Amino acid sequence: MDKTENRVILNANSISKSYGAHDVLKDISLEVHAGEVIALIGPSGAGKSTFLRCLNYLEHPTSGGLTLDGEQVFRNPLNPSKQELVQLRRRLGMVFQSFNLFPHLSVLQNIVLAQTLNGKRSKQEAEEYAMKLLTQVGLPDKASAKPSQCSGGQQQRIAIARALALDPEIMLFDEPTSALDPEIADEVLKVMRDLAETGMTMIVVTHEMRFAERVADRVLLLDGGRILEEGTPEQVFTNPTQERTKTFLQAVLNR
Amino acid sequence: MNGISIETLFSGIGAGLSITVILTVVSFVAGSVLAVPLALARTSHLWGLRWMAIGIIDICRGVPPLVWLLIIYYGISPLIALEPLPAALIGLSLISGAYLAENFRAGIDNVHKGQREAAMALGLTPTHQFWRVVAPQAVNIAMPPSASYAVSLLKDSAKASIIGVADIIFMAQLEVSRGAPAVLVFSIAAVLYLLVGIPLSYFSRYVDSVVRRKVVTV
Repeated sequence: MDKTENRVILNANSISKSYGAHDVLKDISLEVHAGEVIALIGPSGAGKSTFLRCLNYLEHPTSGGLTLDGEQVFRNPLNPSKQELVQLRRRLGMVFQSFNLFPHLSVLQNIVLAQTLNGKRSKQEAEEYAMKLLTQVGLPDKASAKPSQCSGGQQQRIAIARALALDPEIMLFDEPTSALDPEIADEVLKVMRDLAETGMTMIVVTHEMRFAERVADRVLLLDGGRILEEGTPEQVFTNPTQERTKTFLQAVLNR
Repeated sequence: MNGISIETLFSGIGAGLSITVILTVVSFVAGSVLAVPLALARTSHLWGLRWMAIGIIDICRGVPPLVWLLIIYYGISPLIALEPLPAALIGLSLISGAYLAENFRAGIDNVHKGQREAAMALGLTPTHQFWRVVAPQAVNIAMPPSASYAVSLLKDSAKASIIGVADIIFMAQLEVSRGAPAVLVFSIAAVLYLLVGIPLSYFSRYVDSVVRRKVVTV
């Protein structure tokens, strides 16, 4: 597990988010080191997904700021420019619970689209790279299929390839296996495990405790919009400091 | 019946068929073009633009087509000599633009919000998010109701005869004024409308079934 460097790649500084009077996130700060795999666990409604979505500004935090590779992402975090948003999102890959592949495009085109539109690669280079990534996630024969012709597990692996195509510095996973049968979930988790081994920095919102335990370098337990417990998987799973952590872990592990 | 045969009636009334088809096709195409900026304005987050679009759409759809045609024909022709056909084309294009804009708007609204989020997360610009991800799916969703609108547009085009456009109905009335029996004449007109309308509605059902296979609800 020495792939983690000491370099802080992402710094989320005092992120808060409220909808009207309802505070979803209360002053969450997180330093992410390059190569680190962080698992965000916690009960439903704890704010895990909201926090993840604040990192690429799919949700705009009510207060707080982001530093990426030591540089402020936004001149004014509360009123980011379109250009700043686009630049941030091009550096972070995201995988959604419901895959969100583009149904009107083939699998290959799904992976090519942003590469060419963002001016990252020529069409031919983008297609070659897409094929390489499809092979990496074990689906080279699905290139010309439509997403609707793929199973849920296959769609999620394609979605991972699509995000990787932009060579992100960090990958965000929002409950990537929650919509899948346990058996199917394993094929996605394997791709994620392989990715972690390549040294990719990953932040994963998950209910898969075994994945968190085995793959994550650090586990964060969120509850009520705050980080309740934080540590290595061993610390959090075997030696939790908070009573709430114990009851949560008991509930999910005894399912 | 001084020498009136069904054949001559058919060819007499049928002379208006091409005008009816032109009215339908041209105003559908022009309406589709008009509908795009209208639908964009209708879904804009700028409230001024949005309300302007809502106003235009409501007015175009709320006033009966016949009244529109009369207003445009009598309102504009004194200013710039306007023939009945162009006047009818302008009127029907505006009306179909309003109806199709509502279809396009519904299409845009019904694209799953995860699609736009995925496009955002990939760092696409707002323009690319819309034109490369949302719009192609919105068009698919808007296609079936728009194809069935073409059938009602075909029927609405009959109103153009009021301002003197030489369509099927206009030619039919001409035959009646020459002494042909009205029921026979208008039955022939009905058959001519069905000749175009039935294939059109089959086509719209076909489009619907194709799109149903193509659009995936995420």
